[in-house]
Amino acid sequence: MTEARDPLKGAHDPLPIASPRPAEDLDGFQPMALRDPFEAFLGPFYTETAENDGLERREAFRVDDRHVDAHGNLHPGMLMTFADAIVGGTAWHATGRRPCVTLSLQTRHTGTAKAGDLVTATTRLTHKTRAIVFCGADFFVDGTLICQVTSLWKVLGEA
Amino acid sequence: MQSPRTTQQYAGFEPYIGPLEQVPDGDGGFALRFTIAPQHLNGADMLHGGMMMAFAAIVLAGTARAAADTDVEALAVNCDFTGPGKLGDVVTGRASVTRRTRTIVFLSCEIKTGGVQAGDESAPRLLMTATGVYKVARP
Repeated sequence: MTEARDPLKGAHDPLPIASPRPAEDLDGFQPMALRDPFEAFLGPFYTETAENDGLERREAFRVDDRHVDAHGNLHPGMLMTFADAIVGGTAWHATGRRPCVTLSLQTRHTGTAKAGDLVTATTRLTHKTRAIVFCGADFFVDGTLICQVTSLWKVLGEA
Repeated sequence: MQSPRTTQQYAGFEPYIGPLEQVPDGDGGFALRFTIAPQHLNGADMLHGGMMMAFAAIVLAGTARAAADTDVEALAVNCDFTGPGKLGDVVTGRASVTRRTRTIVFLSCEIKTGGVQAGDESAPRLLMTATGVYKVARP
């Protein structure tokens, strides 16, 4: 289960964890402050610099040699990890920044990516009840859809 | 049947997030195991959902590859989170083929912890159930 988190949340939170690879300058994106060790281990990840409501955001990561399978294609598990990180941000924002955990996540793979490709994603909020958030994201390389994700999140402490 | 590719045979995602260890399975099937290490955690010090899903995807694909006797591509993976994992837990994943056609393999997978190590008498606990649909690579 993943704790939802806000990539830009305040100074009272734990310090961000450095990723093993340096962040690059990307037009329209800034590095996320990653506080989950597993995300930092696979990062850097990027979030858009443009103003947004936290629900529909653009996010990105650059595929490198740590993220690929034996054929040099983006490993589905890497995409799922990135998806979990970013739809968790949408769940967090949708609940007024309350702790949430992943209940389920579904992927539909329509393509792949190679090392060096920039994977961009757009998150969305589909529906929200007091206890459950329905959200998802689409993933692209150079404008081509490579994966669609839907996900359910539980708001901790709500029945 | 071709033996499933182990995680040591190439540089990339699987060895990077591992080590993942192939373990004998009673039915002559395919099971993988890893021990939750600090890099696998989330900000709440529990097993990160991404690592759990990545592990399920690796178990599903390895089982599909063995069933198809050739390479496979993920079409769909569905993961349900049924329980948390913590640092030091030994996690085991097994998948079974639900149906195989000439072009498609359907599978289901369970990720568990507890009661899997010699001397560990704790009851097995389910962390995740997952299903996958894989396309058999064209020859």
